[in-house]
Amino acid sequence: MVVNELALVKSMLAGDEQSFRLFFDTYFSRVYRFASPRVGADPDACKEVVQATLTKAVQNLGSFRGESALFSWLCQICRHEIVDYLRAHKRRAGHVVLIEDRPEIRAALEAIEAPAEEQPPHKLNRAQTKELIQSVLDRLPSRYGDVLEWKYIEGRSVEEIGELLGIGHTAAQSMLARARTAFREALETLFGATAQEILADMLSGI
Amino acid sequence: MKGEQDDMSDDSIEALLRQVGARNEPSAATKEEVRRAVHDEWRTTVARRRRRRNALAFSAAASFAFVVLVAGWILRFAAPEADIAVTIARIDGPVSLSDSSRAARLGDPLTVGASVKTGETGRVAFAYGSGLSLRLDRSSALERVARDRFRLSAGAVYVDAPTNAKPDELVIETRVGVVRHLGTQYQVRQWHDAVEISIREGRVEIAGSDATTLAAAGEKIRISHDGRIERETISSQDPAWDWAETTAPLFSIEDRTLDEFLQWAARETGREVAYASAEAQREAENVRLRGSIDGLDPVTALSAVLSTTDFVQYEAGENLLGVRLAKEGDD
Repeated sequence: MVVNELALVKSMLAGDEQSFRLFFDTYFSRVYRFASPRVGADPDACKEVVQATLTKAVQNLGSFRGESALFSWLCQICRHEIVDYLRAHKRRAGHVVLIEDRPEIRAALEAIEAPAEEQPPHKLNRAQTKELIQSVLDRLPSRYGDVLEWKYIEGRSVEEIGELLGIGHTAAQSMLARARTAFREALETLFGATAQEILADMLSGI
Repeated sequence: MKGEQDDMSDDSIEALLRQVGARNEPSAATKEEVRRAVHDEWRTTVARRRRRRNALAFSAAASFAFVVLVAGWILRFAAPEADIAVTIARIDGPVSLSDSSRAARLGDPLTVGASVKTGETGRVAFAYGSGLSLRLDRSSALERVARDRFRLSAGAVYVDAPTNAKPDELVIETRVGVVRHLGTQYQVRQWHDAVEISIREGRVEIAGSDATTLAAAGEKIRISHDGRIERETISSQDPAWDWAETTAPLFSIEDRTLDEFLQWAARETGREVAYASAEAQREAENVRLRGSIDGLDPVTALSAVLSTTDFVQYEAGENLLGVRLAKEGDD
């Protein structure tokens, strides 16, 4: 169930239905969450932008070379679609300022998908930390973000997670272990801190 | 020590994620709407790409095999897109297909855009793709709205998706949402004010306009048109499954082993085969059957077939089909 992005794109280009389903189920919600705050959380605008983004992505799949992560590529397309949408509807994007759009944070988030040098820690407030951790979950490879959320927030069992992903118990267990490791490393890359330290910071700010 | 650190780290990951909370999920209706649009665009792109690639291959080879390639090219383009075959595998009583003026017959296909209706005494089973079975109860109406999507407007539909079948997607649309199987046997019944989904094996996902609901084996979930959800339990032996058993597609026993037949009968009746001994299992795997059980429902067929062998049934538990050698009971 680990998504090999180039292989996924190749089999989508070959017309494989399963691959389309995997692509859509893996990226739809993530792109939606990426777009939503940038169009002022307007659900109609968001749907239009996400549909345009994914439509453009499937039209141009052949140009994806795997030089960036697939999600980064989709976000890039989505940014253009948002600009087009806001221009067409004569709206201004200026009022939308997201913590993850700051250049240094954006670079660090992209480093989660293609690890590079570590970024310096940033002093963030509680809401920004929460927003950023949710972005981290979206940026983790494969469906690690979903797996962590199912396990630790929804309290699902490993068996249930396996069934949701269509894999066996052992594969689900190993995916969960890889998801934890990826999440820990991502926190380290972005915050320069462990989950425990970030949690302590969040709680001390209450 | 490392284990302790890992445990502590896992606890802190859980605590941190709980503090952060779940990410926002777009509504199921939005997801379905976008999925449909993007899927259509993807199919168009793939088809265009194929045509372009085939055309390129054609021009490269044209210099030495023009006539042959033209024929091949025409044949290729004349061939329809790969589809999922949906054909009638069993029919009892009056059944009609919207794209045919005569009564439906065994082997008739249910094409995309067509619908099937059963009369007050009619039932029908379709073989779907590679191993799935789709059955319609009396007074039901089902439309095939896309290659893998069906819309239930009246009555009940039963889906049997064996775990060893290829995972062909099959989606049932209802007034309260979209039902998608995760390897299972289930039925969806449309009432005037609600939709009832019963799961015999596996799990299903029901994507409504506001929320997605999961239901597992042994559950019956009733979703009112106003969105209210009620859950209750349902046994795999509940009489609610009887109609689906009697509409089971015909099973040819000719030259099949007794074990293959028992596995089929057990699945159709919501059970698993339990042999009384390893010897009984070995024997059942070696016995080859001859003849036909056409027209018999699985329970009757089971009695008929076993009566011609050295095997008998025994009480092994609610969800088990107990089978032993007759001589084992004499000990």
